[in-house]
Amino acid sequence: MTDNDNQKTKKTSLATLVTGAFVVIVVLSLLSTSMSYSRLFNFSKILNNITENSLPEASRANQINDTLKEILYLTERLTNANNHSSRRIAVKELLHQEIKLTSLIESFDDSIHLNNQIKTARREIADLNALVIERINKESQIQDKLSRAYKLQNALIASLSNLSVTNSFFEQASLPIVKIVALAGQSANINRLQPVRQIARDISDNITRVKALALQQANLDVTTLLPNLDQLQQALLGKEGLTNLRVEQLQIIGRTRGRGNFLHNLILDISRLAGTSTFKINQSIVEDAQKASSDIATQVNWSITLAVFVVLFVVIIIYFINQRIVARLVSLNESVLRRIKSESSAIEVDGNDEISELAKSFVYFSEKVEQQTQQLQQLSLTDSLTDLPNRRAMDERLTHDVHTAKRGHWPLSVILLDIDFFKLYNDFYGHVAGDECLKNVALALKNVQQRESDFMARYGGEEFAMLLPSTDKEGAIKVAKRIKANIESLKLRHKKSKVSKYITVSIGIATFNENSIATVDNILISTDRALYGAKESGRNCYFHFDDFDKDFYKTTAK
Amino acid sequence: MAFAFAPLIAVSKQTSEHNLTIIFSGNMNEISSDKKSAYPQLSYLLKKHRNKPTPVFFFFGGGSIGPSMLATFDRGSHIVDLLNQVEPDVMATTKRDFSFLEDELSLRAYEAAFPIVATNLIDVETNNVLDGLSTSVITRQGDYSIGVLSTLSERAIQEYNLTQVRVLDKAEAVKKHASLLRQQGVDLVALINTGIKNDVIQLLEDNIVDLILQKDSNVDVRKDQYKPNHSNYIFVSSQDEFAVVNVRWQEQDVQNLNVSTEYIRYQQLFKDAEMQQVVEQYESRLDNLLDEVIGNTQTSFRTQRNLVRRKENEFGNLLTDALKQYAKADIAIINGGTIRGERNYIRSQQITRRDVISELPYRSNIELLELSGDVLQQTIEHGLSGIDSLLGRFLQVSGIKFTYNSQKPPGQRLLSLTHNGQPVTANKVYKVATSEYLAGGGDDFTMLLSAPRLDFKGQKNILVSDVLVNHIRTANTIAPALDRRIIDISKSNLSK
Repeated sequence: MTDNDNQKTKKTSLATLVTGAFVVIVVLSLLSTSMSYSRLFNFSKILNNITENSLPEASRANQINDTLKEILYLTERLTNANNHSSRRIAVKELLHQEIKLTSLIESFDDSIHLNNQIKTARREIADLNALVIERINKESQIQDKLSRAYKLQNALIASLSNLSVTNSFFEQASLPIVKIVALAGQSANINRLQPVRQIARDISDNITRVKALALQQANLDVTTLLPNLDQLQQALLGKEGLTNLRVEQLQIIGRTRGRGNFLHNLILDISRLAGTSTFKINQSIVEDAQKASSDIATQVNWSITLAVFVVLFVVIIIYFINQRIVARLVSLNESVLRRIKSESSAIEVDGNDEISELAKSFVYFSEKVEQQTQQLQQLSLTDSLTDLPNRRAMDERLTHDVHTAKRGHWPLSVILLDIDFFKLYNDFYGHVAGDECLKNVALALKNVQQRESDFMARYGGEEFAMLLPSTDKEGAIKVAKRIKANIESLKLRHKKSKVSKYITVSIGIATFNENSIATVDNILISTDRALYGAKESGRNCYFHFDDFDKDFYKTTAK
Repeated sequence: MAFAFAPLIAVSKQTSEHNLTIIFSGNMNEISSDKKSAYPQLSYLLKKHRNKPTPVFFFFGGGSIGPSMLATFDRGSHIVDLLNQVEPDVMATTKRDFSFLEDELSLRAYEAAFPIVATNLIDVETNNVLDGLSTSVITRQGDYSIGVLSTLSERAIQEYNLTQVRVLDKAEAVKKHASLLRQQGVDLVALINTGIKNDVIQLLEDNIVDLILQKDSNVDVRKDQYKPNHSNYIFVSSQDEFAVVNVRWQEQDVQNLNVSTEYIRYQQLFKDAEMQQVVEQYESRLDNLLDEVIGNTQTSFRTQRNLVRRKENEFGNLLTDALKQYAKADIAIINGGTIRGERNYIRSQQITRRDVISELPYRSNIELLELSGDVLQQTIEHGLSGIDSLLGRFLQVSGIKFTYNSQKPPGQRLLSLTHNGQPVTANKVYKVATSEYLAGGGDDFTMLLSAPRLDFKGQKNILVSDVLVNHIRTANTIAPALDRRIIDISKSNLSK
């Protein structure tokens, strides 16, 4: 594996890690959510089942219980009803409840058996009702007979008193009559059968006694007496007589109570049977609810565990991102800033991934920038065409050399030269040739430079300058001569030059020593005047500033 | 029904001889004819005698409220209704009349149009006779009055698990009330008695009472039954007999009663049509409930008294297995006395609800107890103590096997007792299903009174009979069999 590839594989590590981590988080979250969803769905299914099936069933079971209780109560009311209206009310309500019960029981497992029992109960209610009717009717019949007996008693007593009888007879006759009716009244209240029979026998004895007494009275008109007695006998002892009615009534009362108790127990049995089904229903509801409850508990545990995991994981990821990415980026940023402030500060980042690559890029670019800055700097001090330092450079250098000369008490010479009739050359030969000419001139000038400390620059469009530190007038003139010679050896054709067939230069020289050294401007002005002097002297020559006052006119005359 | 009333010729007390008839019957808890019952015959007999001039008293000896299949449903109301039709002068109280406990008997008393008498029984709360009953009754027919008393034995309390009443000493109670009756000028004092002991004849010999009437149809089956030999002690020893007692005495000479008793078998009598109709109506009332077929049996078995109260029984096994399964218990026990069917079942016979309820007419819920090994041993031992008298306490079991020696004296009969092949030891505890009746100390199983009640899954207030009905219904086909759970080593042949 090449370095590049190595780097490539190592480079992908951060991306993979972060992507991987986030993928895991997403997956875990999805997992947790889907688990929660499925469990909650199950739970809601169970709840739905409970709500739609179990609870209505339980409520129905409760309704059945209530109905049965109501039926039980109504059974008592029916059994004890004393008149037809309360009886009818009880019966109507009973049948109503029983219909309700039948419809409620339909859905039970044991419904066949339950329905059988309800059928039996229905029949029993009808029978009981019939018995209660009979009992109530008998009661009113008995009361009728009793009041009839009282009426007859009164009639008998009245007829006895109407008849002309002896007092003793009256007493003897009326006493049993009264006793008879008293016994009759008694029998209506005794609730034992044999005593009622005994009373019947006593009544019979008394009636016989009265009859015997009456018949003993020979001349008694018994035409009203005897029929009444017979009627009384019939009313009390006849087949439909009071005593028989009372016996029957006692039997009916017993039977009614017995039936009532039976019905009561039948309802309790139904209740117990329904209770079994209810119990099963309730059991299953409780079991369902318990299962749901434990499911939810499990689910909650799972969810919490999963959530805790996810949170932990996220925390870890955050920490990881913070350490491996953010912290390093911050540190990188700080390094870069430091580097910007000072070149010597190194950008160092550990690791072997995107960030370290980033750091490397930063280093590369910062070096590049520095390089370019330098180059730029260079460029801004160099004339791009001739590759000579430019005016700025020269100004700077001049400043520098002036200071150096002043400090070292050395002379400084400045040469300024100008290509003669360069404009005409440009116009005639074109700008491109003009540039070529300038380049050649520059080259020639470079060749002139002998000392390191000498400085050559392109001063203007066709002007060149040269700085010669530690050079006096003599030395400077030697340099100027060399320049002139070098230029001449170029032999650049210049048709439009008025002083030569070839390119020539005019050279102005100025030298300064500690006495005459002045500001940079003064130096340049002086040198420039010297150049002017050269120009005035007919070009293609050199002129020193010092020669101005004496030889000025001489040279200009040439 | 209205009796055709025959006017009685007034019998003057001045005639020299007194003559009356007492008709005595009892223990008529079943109404269906295949069960040796005879209400129609009784009605016929009574009508016949009541048409005669001699005053006739009808004393009913009780013992009829339960148990019976119909009584399981109506707690004996139908019996009271039938008795109302035949108009007894008085009914005595026996232990069987407590089949549905004290309160139900009181309720029956309010349904009865005749007095129910219990002389040596008092309510523990009121210290008086039980609600609805009387300690003594003066019955009258014509010019004669007979004071009637009724006594029963202590066994009632244990066998029927009674908690609201106390049984007093017979002799004391009878003496007290007989003298009260005499003070009220009754002609005769009659005592209706029940019990296996010979504890009342002295009262006759001392002239405390003039007559004693008793019916006990199990006398031939028990080894130790006493049968009296006194003309004034009327003892009906067959289930299917009435006693017609003729009593004569000379004026002022009540001490010398001339008592002649005729025992008439049911079969000898015609059936009264009206009463027959009433009986049939009662029988048909529950048909659609009871005729429901719940299963069938692959094996034959019998439930006679001398089988369920003396040895391992197929039906007993079936029942105890069902109880054990229902309550998810280790063991189940039930007293043989609770099995009342006395029937034969053949192979492939269909089992109806009616069958189960006639076998188990008592209403007792299932109960789950925690018994330690030694209490269990005591319980089994107690169950074996009544074999000689064929007492109902003999236990049918499931989940355990035991061997015993019936020749040993009671209390020393149990030889070995194992559960799942392991001997039952004192330190182990077992879950034992049984009936509420036994758990409450019924049949003298006092050791069960303090046993902790356990909870079990399933409906709690369910009758033992219903547990069996459900069991058979679920299984559909049953095959009750013997599997050597109970072995009497003193029997030479182990097959029966």
